Amino acid sequence: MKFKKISKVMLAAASMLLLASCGNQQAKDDKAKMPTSYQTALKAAKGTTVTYYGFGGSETQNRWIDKVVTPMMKKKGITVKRVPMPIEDILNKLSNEKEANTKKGHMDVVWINGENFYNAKKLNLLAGPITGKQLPNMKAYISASDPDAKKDMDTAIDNLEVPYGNAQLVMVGSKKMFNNDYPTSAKQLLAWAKKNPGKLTYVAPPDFTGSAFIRNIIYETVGYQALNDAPATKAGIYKVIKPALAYLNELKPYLWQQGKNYPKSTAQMDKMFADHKIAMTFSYNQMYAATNKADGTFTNDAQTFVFDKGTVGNYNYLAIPKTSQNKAAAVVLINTMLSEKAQTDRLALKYGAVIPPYSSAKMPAKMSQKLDQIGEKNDIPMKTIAKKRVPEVSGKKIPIIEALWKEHVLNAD
Amino acid sequence: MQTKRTFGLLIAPFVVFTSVFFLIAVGKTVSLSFGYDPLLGHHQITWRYYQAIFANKTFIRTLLRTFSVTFLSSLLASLIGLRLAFLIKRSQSWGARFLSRIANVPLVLPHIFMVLVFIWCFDQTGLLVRLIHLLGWHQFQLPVLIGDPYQVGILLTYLWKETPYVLLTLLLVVRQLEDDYFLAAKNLGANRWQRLWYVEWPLVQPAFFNALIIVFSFSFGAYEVPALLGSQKYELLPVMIYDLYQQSDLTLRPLIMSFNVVISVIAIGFAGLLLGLSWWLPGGRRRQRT
Repeated sequence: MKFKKISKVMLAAASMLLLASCGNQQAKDDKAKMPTSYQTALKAAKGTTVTYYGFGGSETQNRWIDKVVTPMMKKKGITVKRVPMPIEDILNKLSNEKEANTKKGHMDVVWINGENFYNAKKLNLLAGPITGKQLPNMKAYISASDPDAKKDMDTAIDNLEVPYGNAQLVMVGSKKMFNNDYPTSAKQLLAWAKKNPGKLTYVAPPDFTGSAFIRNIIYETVGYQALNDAPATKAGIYKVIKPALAYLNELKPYLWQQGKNYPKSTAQMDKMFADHKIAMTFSYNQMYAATNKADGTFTNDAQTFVFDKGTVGNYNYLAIPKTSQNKAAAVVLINTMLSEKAQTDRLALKYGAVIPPYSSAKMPAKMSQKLDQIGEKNDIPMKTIAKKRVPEVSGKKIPIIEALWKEHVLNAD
Repeated sequence: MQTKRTFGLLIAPFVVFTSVFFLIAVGKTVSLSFGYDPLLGHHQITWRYYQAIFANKTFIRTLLRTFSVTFLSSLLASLIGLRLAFLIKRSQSWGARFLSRIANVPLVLPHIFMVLVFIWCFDQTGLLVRLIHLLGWHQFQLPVLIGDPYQVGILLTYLWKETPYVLLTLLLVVRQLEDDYFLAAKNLGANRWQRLWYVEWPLVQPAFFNALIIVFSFSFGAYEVPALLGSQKYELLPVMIYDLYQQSDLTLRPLIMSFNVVISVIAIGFAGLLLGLSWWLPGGRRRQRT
């Protein structure tokens, strides 16, 4: 009899939901459409909830969304719901939705980059165009002619995503172990490894950062241009990067555990670096050494440096899925994340000190000052790092490079 | 009859619900593995991906490695569990009762927890090494157990986790055994091996094989233990497949799904083989019929 009671309650609840959804139909249609201007977006989004789906593994970035962006949105009358999810899962979900022909999804804003953007664009999963028309902050601070506003890892953006953060690979070395003389080229790195066997390693691909380190070694040995010009086939890339694979094999016996094992995550590599088991770690965040010194993970012994020929840089992007039911609030959220206040706050060490995606010509004076200030904490000026920036190659090539590394370096013998 | 029907009705929603989702997932995996991917506009059915898999030497090597590691660990866990079950049954001591209680603990703990404990204790700079150094033996070096080429770490973790499972399932069966059979055989002059082979083994082997199959099928497809404790160089199949899946290259999906189908077929086939063996051995259904 209990069963009957439950079903009655459920029936009542279901019919109430049905009624409620009928009443709101008009308002729903309004906010589900891509707004034509920021003003209309703001009006339609008031009083609603917007979801943000993105990689949840970065404590500092989660904190930034929760403590800076969410309160700013609250003032505009919009609630932000942050859902941590790896981008691979987001894409799988979106493509499943598409396969099932679902028009209504739960994701309003997603954090996306590179190869994943390439796939999402190919499958036609993203809503657009998102331009300066809806995003006054994009118009104000990012020039449309910036290479990173036009292409994401060699994929044309076509107004389907918006840059919101700037990343570049930096090395962090131990002052004591390197004796204040850092290997700023692959050649010097190899020479140091030969003299100090077992004191270097790198996190193994498919880890995102380890993969970037290997690309950087390829740039060092054969140059960015050669890799960029190579056809995106296994044979074509192998031909071009052969010298880089040979270099990594020469380095291998001098690595931690003779290169038979590699750290599986950047967290593991950082821990080994903090324990002085290895002399170097690296990160996609330019301020990584400073933020880790601030929270006590690294000591003052940690020093940032980059290769003389440069290190890989890319941007983080935000996009709106086609199935979003609240594109109006999504636009407001993206604009808020791009605002000067949010981006300036983000430069604090507790928020990861992420460099804004602003064009250098459009950077507000206050922000340039702040960038110089935090550069001091990092022992290396931000401008020096920015000057040593080399672009990413096409996202299509990255899995191929990872597979070649596995075949010819990891399993070489 | 009445109760049976009500029971059937009561569980019907659950059965329908899960089987629908299960069957859809299996159906989708199989259809994708044959290259049918409407999302990318591929509607043609092809054997290509299966051919690619069996032409791939790395896959064959990884498959054999995965099979050996998981079968060895499952077999060892089952044998140790069986032996312990008999020991505990025969012994009336406080220690034996304590052991059978404490065996519950690893059972409820998740694999990931066991892995973390393992890393904590047996890492090159782990608890064990630190303790021994503290006691004054500074030359002590633990062999590499995490990411080692022989998969010792994975093997030990599975043993640690699966042996108690086998022990507890078999203990239930072993405790039901009547001592009378055993005594009768002894009385009739059967020696130790004869008693084991003709009296005890036939009574426990169906349960033993069931436990072995469950443990094997689980560890053959499990990801977290090999991902955390395995060597990248000598990786196991689940890790290899998951890494491919995470590449977010949608054109790889048919290949990945055919990998999944192949390992499922192998796991099911092997389970069938073990069941057949159990059926054929003394104590199996075949003997019961005659």
